[in-house]
Amino acid sequence: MVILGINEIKEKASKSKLRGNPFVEKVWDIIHDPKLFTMSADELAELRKQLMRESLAFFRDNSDYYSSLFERLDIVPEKAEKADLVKLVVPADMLRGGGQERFVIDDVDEGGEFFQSSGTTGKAPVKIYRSPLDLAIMVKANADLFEYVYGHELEENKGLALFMAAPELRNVLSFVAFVELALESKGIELLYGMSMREAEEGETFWQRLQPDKKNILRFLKSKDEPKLFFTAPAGVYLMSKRFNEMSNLKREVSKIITRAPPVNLGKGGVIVTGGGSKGFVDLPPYAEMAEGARNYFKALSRSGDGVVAPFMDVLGMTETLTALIDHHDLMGKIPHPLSEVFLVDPKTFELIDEPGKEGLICIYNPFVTTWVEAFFPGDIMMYHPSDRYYGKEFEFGRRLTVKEGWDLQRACGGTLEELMEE
Amino acid sequence: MNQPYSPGHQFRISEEQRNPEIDRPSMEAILAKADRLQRAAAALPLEKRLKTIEEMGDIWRSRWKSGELTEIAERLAQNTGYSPEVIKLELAFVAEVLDPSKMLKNLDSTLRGGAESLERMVEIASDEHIRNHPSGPTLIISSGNSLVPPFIPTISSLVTGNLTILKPSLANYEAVVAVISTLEEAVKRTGATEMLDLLVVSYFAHGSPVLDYLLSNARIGVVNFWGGDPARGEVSAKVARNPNMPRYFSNGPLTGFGVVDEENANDEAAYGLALNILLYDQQLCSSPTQAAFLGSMDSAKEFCAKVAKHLEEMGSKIAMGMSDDGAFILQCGRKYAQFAGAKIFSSDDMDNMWTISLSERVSDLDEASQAYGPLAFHNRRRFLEIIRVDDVERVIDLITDLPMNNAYRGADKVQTVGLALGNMNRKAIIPLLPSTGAYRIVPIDDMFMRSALEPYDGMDMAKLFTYGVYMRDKSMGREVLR
Repeated sequence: MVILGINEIKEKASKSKLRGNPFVEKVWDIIHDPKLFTMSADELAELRKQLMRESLAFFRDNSDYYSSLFERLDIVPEKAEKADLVKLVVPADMLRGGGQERFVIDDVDEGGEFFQSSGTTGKAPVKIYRSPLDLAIMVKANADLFEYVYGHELEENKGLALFMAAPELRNVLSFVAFVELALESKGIELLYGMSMREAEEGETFWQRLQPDKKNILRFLKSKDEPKLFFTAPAGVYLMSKRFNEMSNLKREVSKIITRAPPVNLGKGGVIVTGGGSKGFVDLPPYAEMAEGARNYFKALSRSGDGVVAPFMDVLGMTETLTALIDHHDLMGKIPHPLSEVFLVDPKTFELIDEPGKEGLICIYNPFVTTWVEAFFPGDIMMYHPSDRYYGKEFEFGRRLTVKEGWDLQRACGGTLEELMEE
Repeated sequence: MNQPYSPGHQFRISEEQRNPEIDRPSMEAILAKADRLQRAAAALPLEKRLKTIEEMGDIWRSRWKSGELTEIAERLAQNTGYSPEVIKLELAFVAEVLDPSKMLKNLDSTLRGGAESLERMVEIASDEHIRNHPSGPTLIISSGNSLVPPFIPTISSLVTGNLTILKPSLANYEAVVAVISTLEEAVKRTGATEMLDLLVVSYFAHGSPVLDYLLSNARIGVVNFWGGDPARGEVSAKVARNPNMPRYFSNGPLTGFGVVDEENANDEAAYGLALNILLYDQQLCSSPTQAAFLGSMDSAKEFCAKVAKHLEEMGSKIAMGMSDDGAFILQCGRKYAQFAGAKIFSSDDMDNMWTISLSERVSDLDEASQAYGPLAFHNRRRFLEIIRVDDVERVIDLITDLPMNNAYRGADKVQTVGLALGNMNRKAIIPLLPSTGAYRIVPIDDMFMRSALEPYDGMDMAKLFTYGVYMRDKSMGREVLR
């Protein structure tokens, strides 16, 4: 199993066979363009369109599979429109097991990493290969998006992060990998709030997870700033519930031992959730959960003013190189500027471009160089207009059901919620 | 509620079941009279029996024309999911099944000794005679997806003089009784009241003790089951335990297969294929669900476009019931086929969501169905797979191998092969087709239509419901021993 550090990724990416290809060079330059998040929605839409055409032409020229597929779908890359993306999006279920293999270009860079979904449905998990070049793009693009939503750049070598996951999940879940690599690139220490015990016969990966009390305690007691807390919504909810149910005596003892409650996240501290409500039927709505948690999680602004603890929620899945992230109270879910996120009518697959109207969310990432990353994860969402760079902010509606032909569970952070009962 | 119907018999309703069923003591009492009733029916002149069937057809037609059956037709459409237009067509077909001339033709061609062998001993060779006698009582567990199929065996069983127990499905029960109850009026006209005594219609639930008794214990002569597994397997296991050794014949789920070549890829063939796809939304055992195209890929695409045009035009007049979930599943299924290698022609009109999946040599739907379970055979409607091939040998392989294809799991095999071929290909394929296991070879536009002479899935129904009694006056053994 290959596990790369950020420096190795950057080095391997710089040596990619694809470097020098005009399309790949363009992607590389744009991803690193500091102006990207300051462009207007119209400028970005035009940029994405150009990138889409060049990307499709790149895949046609580098893959017999895509060449034949585009012909069958009547797609001419040089003239492609958003309607052609509707033809190209595949159900995430199609990427189970070896489903991605046929989509990967013929001469793909080796030495990358595989990420997969939780596999909690009992079926083969979604498994996605990320080349070193794509990994480098993943870290840069997600870090930029994170910082935009967070409100400012993360200062290098400053702060402490706790991720309610086990380090072993770094090799499996792309969300965990992205967080670890992004923090590594910033020199911010990451603690894992869980560990994985020895396997007993018949146990799944997920049944072996247990809280790493030492790391959790260290995070709670730390005076580093900012403190970044990565967890599933249920993690925050259950922690708040536990604080709420403590007797006065217990609370005082807890304060002496752990300095919590409340959990002081310090200047610039933030809670980052991901994974939705999978595994929990009685989880309150996100807004309610966040409000309740703010009694027990405290943060300050960067200048030191008291603020309510900021909540960011990540809609990420194995299949996408970049996530959609929201900032509770401030903005809805927003994609990376180069990511084409759109809604279609699940019955007819016609594009929906109407604020407030529900549709099946589809994601196309024209900056991925390994395969045409165009899929739908099985979520019904809607959007409202926004003054921000994307022109739209998305809201989660509901998950498709098995009756609707949908087997795939929400991936990434969602799985972690199952572990939060302890 | 679906009350049992048997005007010739007294019966009580079982209190154990949610839907009304004839109880076991009543059923035992009816079966105890079977020999006497069948003897009496067998003594009826055939002409009188056929006249009664004709009267049933006339009564049915006049009820239909008067609008008396409109509400039943609407409910049948709701229960089966077919469009009202298909149901109208279905109700018109009922009269075809009740056509005495076709019935006579069938009996004449099916039974040794011809139709009159049902009335008396008929000489079939010098001093050799045969009489066909009812082998019942018969239990017919009929299919529920439309109205005509239950009458195919039922009318045959009645005309051949069998005490006939018909179990319709809940979906078509009301309509089946509406048709069969015309017998009551018909026998008044013809005086063949013995035929009324032959009829017992009742629903039986899957776990019904009465059904269990009928299958595994009762003095039944023939069990005819229409449908697929797992019910088929359970029924056959029970019948096998019956000490009275009833004959058992199941009409399992089958499908249709079209064969078209470049020479005949004309508008007429495209129309015929589209028509047979749209009739009953491919729920007939004859409905084409897969087809082979002999010719170039470009010609295959052109032909697909022609079929698409007719599916669009005709299909828009016959609305199909498509749920939101069903539409999404279909859209995903199309994508699975496309990404597996197929070229998809389709409509997103929710009332007419037809699909043609065109593949090269191999079935891309096979892979797609394996990867995406909801694309299964029984979930597809107005969905045709066309595979372009180079030669008739490949066509034969596709027909033979269809049961092994994931996309057709649930179909036992191909029942009907519809042809639209030029002379050369026709000559080449006809000798090869019988070995594929297919039961019928007909023109592509006529796949749904049955002739009076046709066996049903390889079986002549009248033969199933009778046994031949042979008689000879002179000894033959003495000659042999001499």
